Amino acid sequence: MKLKSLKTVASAISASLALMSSVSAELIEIKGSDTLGAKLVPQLKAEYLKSNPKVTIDILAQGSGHAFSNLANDTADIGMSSREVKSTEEDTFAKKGQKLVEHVAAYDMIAVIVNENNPVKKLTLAQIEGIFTGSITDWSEVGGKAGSISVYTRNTSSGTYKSFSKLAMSKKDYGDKCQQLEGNQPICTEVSKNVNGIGYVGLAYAEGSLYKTVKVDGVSAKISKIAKYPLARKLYYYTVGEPKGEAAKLLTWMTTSDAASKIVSDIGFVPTPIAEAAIKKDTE
Amino acid sequence: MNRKSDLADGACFKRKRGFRLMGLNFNADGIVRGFFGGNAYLAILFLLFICIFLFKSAIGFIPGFRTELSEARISGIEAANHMNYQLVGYDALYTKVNQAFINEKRAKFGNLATLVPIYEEFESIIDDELEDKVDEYTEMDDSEEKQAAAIKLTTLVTKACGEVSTEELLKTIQSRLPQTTEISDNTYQKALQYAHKYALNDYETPDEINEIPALINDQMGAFNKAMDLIKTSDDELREIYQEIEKIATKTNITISDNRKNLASITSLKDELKDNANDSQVAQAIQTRIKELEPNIIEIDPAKNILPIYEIIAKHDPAADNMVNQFQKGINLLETAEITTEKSTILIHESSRLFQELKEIVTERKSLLAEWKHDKPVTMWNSITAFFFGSDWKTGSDRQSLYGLMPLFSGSLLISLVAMAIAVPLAIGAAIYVNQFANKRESRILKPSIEFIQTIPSVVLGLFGVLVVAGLLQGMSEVSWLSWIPGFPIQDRLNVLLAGILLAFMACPTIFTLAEDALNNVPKAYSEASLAMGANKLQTVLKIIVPASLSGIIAAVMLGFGRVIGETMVVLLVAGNKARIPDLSQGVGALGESVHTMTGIIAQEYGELEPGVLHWKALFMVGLVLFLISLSINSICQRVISRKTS
Repeated sequence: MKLKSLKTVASAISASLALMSSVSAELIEIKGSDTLGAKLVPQLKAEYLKSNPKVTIDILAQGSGHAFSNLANDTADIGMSSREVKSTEEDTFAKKGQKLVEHVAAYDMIAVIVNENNPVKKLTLAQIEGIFTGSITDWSEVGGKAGSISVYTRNTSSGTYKSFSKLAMSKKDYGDKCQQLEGNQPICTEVSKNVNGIGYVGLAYAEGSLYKTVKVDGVSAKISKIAKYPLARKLYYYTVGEPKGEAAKLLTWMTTSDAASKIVSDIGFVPTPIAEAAIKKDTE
Repeated sequence: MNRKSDLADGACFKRKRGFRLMGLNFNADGIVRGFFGGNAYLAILFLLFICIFLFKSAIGFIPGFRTELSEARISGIEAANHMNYQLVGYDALYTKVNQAFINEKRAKFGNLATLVPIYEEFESIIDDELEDKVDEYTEMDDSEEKQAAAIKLTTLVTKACGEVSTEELLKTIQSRLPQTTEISDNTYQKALQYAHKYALNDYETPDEINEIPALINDQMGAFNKAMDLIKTSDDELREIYQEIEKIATKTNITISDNRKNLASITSLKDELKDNANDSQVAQAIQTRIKELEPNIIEIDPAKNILPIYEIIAKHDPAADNMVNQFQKGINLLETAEITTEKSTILIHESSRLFQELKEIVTERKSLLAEWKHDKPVTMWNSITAFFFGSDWKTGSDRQSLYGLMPLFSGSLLISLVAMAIAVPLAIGAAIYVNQFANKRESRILKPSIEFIQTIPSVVLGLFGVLVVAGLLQGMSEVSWLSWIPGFPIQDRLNVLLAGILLAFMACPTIFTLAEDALNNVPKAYSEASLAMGANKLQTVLKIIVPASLSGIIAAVMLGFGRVIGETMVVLLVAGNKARIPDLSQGVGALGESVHTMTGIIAQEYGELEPGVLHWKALFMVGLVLFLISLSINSICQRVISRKTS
């Protein structure tokens, strides 16, 4: 908590300094989810500034919830979120006579990872559900080498935790043998070190030397398979009302331009245009 | 000159001048005194402030939890839970029997089964290396060109699969089927053929591969028949459970959504009153209210509960059926021919677990018979559900449970392990440094031990995750250490690891305080003892330690307080599994991951909206922690004061 408040103070100082130094420059504040704000948005910012040097962009990534609190307090122009807005959050805006507008930032795929030495290559959704709800407890039951399964999950405040339960476990509760870890990287570390481990991470973390992804229902977690992969979800930007001015330009650039798409896919998300084209093609 | 000293003048004894207000002295001394006193009393004010804050945030939890519990009862979730409990027991039992079955199959029909893993190996090669080619081929229109492409693709598949050497392939197969000694050419070619089919048929696994497990099952005789019985024994119960679950969750979600929406509308309406003048805001609020109003669905719990009772009436026969059919399966298993030792052990264990399942079924049957949806949930129920609840399940889509037990037992177990390690170490060190060490030694030892205290806990936690965890696990897997109970440990992050690191943190606290206590023993005691002819060791053990015992106990308790309140280290190394450790396995429980009271607050506080029930539950946990620390401290005060009086 201390760290967060320090960060806030630091960002406030830097923001006010930036304001003072370049009064003429336009300031865009982007706040919210760390899934988006840790790597992706900062890189998009760097690229965007190359062609728009007059704009100042501030990014603060503390979690999806902060997107809405900052938008409500008018301390952010764009909110980043790895989940859809909650009903209670919408109320806050309504109370002030405002309405939130949703923009799809990118598609993310949740990859299921196992240890490199685990012979299991594919799991069905039913098997994944069984493993994470605790009714399947041994690798031999899903075609692997006999050994009791260690399940690693994110913690309850994470958006991915919820998304995974919705997408892979038909909203059932996680089993009581799951170990809840603090982020994507700790899950990768534990799975790398435990031959009987299984966990899930965002696509950006799916490549690793000591662990590998398994195919889910016969589909591998690859960008080209977005339309068929069962564990795909959307990430969002939110604005209060339709975006205007520089923020609108930036949003359009981030969600539609080729340069932005390249950065999005380099980092390990699926760019919205590509994903939507693939899904459209698949439904035809 | 006639000089007078200040003393002779009596100046220093004169009352300093200054003005008095409301009984306070406002001269220089008075202000300084007031400043110090004020600082001291500020601490009490602060403590009071924290108490009020904690109580205020936590107080709404008990009634809030009561509301949720009674909603769960009215909607029938509770009845569904009783059924689910039996099914969870069944699952735990089934997985054991299934493991025995798979183990047996692998031992008997390994050679037939090798086809599957070889094929899967090829399949993953195709996925990894030839994806573009396969996609390209699949998208082609039917034509002669496509036929040519098919031939090209098959050669590519053969080539890619051929690049994996037979030894490498055998090694991967052996990790699944240990008794495989060689891959016959016939099997290899067959697997390759199926791999071709897979590539040409848009990643469809050929039916032949999918049928192999069934083929093997058919040859398992009595065991397979027993498995068929066991596998289907729960069908009826599961079906009625799913029915009841569907109705109950639907009612439950409607009831709780209605409650939340009503609360939203009430607060929006209040806001509307305040903003009546601002037409734009008022309009937006009204639109939102209009959006929310249709979400409130009139529901009559008394009517909704009727189908639940109908299903409950079907429960007993279904549960009996499950037990009987399972029993038949178990009986059949006894006649089946079982060759491997592992399967025999597993089946033996299953028979034992089956007795437990029977008990669970009888217990839940009687609970369901007594169950009534309109029996009121009292405050006391809510309090016991929190303090003695065995499930901490948050963010659930059907029913969140806030039971303290898994967290409390985790914290307690870790602290006990830490104390078991730290107390002998720290007190031994304190006795040595205080009584036996020469000056030079104690000049080095004392500051070094106290220096440990300055290590930030996050550094220690990371050191634990990255270094000690690996060392501990490696050590537990060494074969000549396997006589130690609990070795090899189950989870990499576990109670023992957290205990070791926390012991390291508690050592300086205990050491410093215990050393002070030893120091406070009057010299005359030891001198008298030595004069009576006792040697140094006798003096230390029989005179000095007993004389300072209350101080040492206080040191230990303060160390305990430090350990139970530690957050960062346990968050990183305890493994965060919210489950009461299985103490029936004895010392082995120390190898399990646990969750702690401090860890859960740090972990789940993150993005919670202030005021929601989950948020209040975390404050309740915080309150419990605060009370534990407070009582430990006050006990210490008593122990110390008893000695002085």
